[in-house]
Amino acid sequence: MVQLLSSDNETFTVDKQVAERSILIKNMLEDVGESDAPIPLPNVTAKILKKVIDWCEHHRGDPVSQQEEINDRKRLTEIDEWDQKFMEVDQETLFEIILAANYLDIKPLLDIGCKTVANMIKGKSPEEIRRTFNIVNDFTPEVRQFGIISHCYFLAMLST
Amino acid sequence: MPETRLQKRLRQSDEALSNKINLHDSISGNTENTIGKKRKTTIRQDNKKTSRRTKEPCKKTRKSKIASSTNQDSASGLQCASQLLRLPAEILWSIASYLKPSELCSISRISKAFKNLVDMLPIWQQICTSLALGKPARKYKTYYALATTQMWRICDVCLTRTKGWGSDSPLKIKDIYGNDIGRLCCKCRCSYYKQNPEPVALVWNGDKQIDPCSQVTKSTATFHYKLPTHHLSSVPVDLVDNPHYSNAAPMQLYLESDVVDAARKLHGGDIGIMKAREATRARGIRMRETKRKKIQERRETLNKIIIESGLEHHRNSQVCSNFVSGHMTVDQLVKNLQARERQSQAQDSHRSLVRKELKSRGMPALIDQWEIEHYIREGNGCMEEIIQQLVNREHELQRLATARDARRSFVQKELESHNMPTLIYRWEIERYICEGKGFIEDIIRQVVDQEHELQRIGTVTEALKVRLNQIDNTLAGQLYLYENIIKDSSNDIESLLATIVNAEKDRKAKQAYKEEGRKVKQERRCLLIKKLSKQNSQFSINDARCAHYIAIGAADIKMLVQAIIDESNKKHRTSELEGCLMQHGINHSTNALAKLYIDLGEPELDVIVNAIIEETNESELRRNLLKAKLIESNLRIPPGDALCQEYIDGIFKDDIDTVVKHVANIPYEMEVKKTLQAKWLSNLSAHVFSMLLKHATYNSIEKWQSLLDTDDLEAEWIATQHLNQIGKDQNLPTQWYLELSSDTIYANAISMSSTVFAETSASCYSSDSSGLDTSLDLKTGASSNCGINTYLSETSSRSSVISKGSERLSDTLCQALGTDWLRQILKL
Repeated sequence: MVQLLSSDNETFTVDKQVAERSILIKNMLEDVGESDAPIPLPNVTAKILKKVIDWCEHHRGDPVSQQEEINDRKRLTEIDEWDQKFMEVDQETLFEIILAANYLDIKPLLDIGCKTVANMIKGKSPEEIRRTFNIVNDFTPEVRQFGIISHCYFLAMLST
Repeated sequence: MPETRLQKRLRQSDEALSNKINLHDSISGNTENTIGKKRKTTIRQDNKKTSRRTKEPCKKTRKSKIASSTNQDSASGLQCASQLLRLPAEILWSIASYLKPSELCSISRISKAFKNLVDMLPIWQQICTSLALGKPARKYKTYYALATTQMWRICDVCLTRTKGWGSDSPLKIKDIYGNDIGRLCCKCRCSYYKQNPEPVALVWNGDKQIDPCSQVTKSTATFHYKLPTHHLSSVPVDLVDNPHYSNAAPMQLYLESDVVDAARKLHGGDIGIMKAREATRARGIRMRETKRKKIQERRETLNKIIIESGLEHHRNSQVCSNFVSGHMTVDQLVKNLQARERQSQAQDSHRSLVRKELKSRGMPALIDQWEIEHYIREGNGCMEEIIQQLVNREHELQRLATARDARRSFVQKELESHNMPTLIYRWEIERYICEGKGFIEDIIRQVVDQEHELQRIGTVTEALKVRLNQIDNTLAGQLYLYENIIKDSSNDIESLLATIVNAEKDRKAKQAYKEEGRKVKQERRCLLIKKLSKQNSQFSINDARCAHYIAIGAADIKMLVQAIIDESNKKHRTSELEGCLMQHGINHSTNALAKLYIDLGEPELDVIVNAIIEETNESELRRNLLKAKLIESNLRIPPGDALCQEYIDGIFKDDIDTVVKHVANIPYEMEVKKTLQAKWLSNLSAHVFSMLLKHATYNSIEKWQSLLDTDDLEAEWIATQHLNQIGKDQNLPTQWYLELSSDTIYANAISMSSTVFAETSASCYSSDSSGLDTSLDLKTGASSNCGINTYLSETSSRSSVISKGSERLSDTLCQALGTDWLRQILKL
């Protein structure tokens, strides 16, 4: 069993196999060896750590996937049903999970997070995306006008 | 001074941006300098802008509370936005890697940060390289900018560039759950739909529901589904008679579902077909618009030219129309308009002259006459003459009109005296008024009499109607049937009534008789149909026996039905047998076994076919034998002869000589033989013989041998003497020449006697070019008789063989035989 200490000093005891889903923890365990001391995770809050542990518990037996190339354009955005439900959280939590996955080096969880965000962007217009993520349009009016004209040209070319 | 939230956000944003740039630089070390410069410039600009922006909210906050609240909202929004932008660059890139190029284009328009993120993605360089779009330069400073110029043509999946027109452009498709698949090119769409087939197109075609069994014409398939003809070749087609023109090419009908499938494969799904249609429609609209613009331009040019040239009154001329429709250049237009102007000036002068002349003669209305119009238009002829002719004609017309009026007033008076003024409109009177022919007194008398007669008939008819209404109402309405009786009758109503009543009785009786006959015929017809349908046979009105039975009924229906069934069975058996025998290349029509099978239907078809095949082989042998035997007697197999046919079929088992004798005794065959011989010999002139003798040789024994069988005793004797002499010289037994093999061409010559000699001569002659015409004459002369023609065709092949040897006769033959023998030959 391994003890994990969150940034808000909450300790979680998890199975070693579960904890080793994180490459960071796995490396730390390898470096430190057998120890009862909790592993401090200063960048992860208890709330997020609990979510991450839940995910790792569920995917305990999953095989370690091959490293995918970032430039592979044919990557699918389909997400497993359980993962989909797992990611049905508010945006802040979602980004926290992504950051935690990145920090803990849990590649599959990071991919699922990225896929979720990508799915949130897909099929939406820029204005809808802005509304979804509360983004301000900081383009100057001239650039906006040019963008609209370019988009109209694009649509016109499509319609030919 | 403590940092405000906004300042904090901007700082974080800048940090994130610089992080991304650094990361990008570290990943793509070979990034172009231009991009680096662009990025640096962007950062500097951003810094400037942020610094400006930092001040602006402060000012606004001071100015108004509303502005302050707005800023607070935007600030909270920016805080949320920072959550997404706070993610490390590699995560943002990872997110972007799940998006398609078209989606990346879309997110680049969210904000500057996203624009920069998208700008730096390596995919754009990949696209530019694969599509050979070159490198960023002055106009397009980044790979993203360069790639987006072609974005409307690039497929999201394969990243290839399409034509970008019609179905061959990337089209946005969705899966069955409505999720975007991306903008796919035709090829990618096809492969996608291959894995995820579209539903059966039952309601595909707009509101129209497609019936899977419905058929469409080739035109519909090509026009509606945008399928080129060569693509339709793979679709199964039904050929149907053209319903509009029976002689036209058959209609090609395709199953609509097949056509839809083929169109989907070609255009990449239904969306592709729609796009192809839209593209065609748009192209049509564009073409029309271009044409309209061109016409407008030409019209403006035309207006300008017309105003400059002062040719306003030619605006609506054909020349202007030609120019506007593009069939004329500007120079041609000007020349034509000027020519037209000159022409119209000349016409005006002609018109004024003519008008003046007509006015002087007091007939200005004649200007509308076509002769005058022609003169004004063309200027041909002498004006005075034309006008004089017209004036004369006008005078003549006036004279005729006066005479007509006089006749009309006279007739009117006459008719008024008879108290019948309305009769002036009768055609006889009209003719008199117009032409003045006949005697008006007689015409008026006739017309008046006719009128009186009509009045009388009217009176009688009315009286009859009154009487008939008392007796028979129906007859009163049918009086028109007895107009002739009324016309010829006197005014005695009662006798007329009796006549009409009797006539009506007769008519009804006839009608009843006809009706009865029709019913009987109908009954017979129904009975016949019933009987035939019981026997699974069809009734045909075209069958004379059926028609006869229905009309007269004078036949035993059982026998008739049996006969029809027998005939139908025979037809069926004949077609069956024909089909089987045709496969073996046998014509059954002359075969006795076949006839037997057709008549009786026994034995079974397979048995009879096998028997006929065997029989045919035997028959062929017997036919050849009989043919050879008949040729020996200078005869042929007479066409359609029963005995010969029976012999060939093996039915007639008697001696072959009996058949030969039978053929020899057929009168028309003898006639054919004689006619043929006469024809041949009459055409053999002395020239033929001279040529024969000139080219022949005397060295052949066979030639002498051929002379043995001639009717000429003297020639036979000379030939025998010569052959005996040869036999003696060669130490051969007596009459050795009679045992010679007859496998040569001269054996035929012996058997064919004088006719063969004639053939030999003719063919020998025909071998010479100068005798070609005569040879042709022989053939054309013979073709007038069918029998002779057949005979000629049989003998011509032999003649060609014989001609090879006949040239061997030499001049010595003539010397040896002497002039007497030659005379004998000529007589023959």
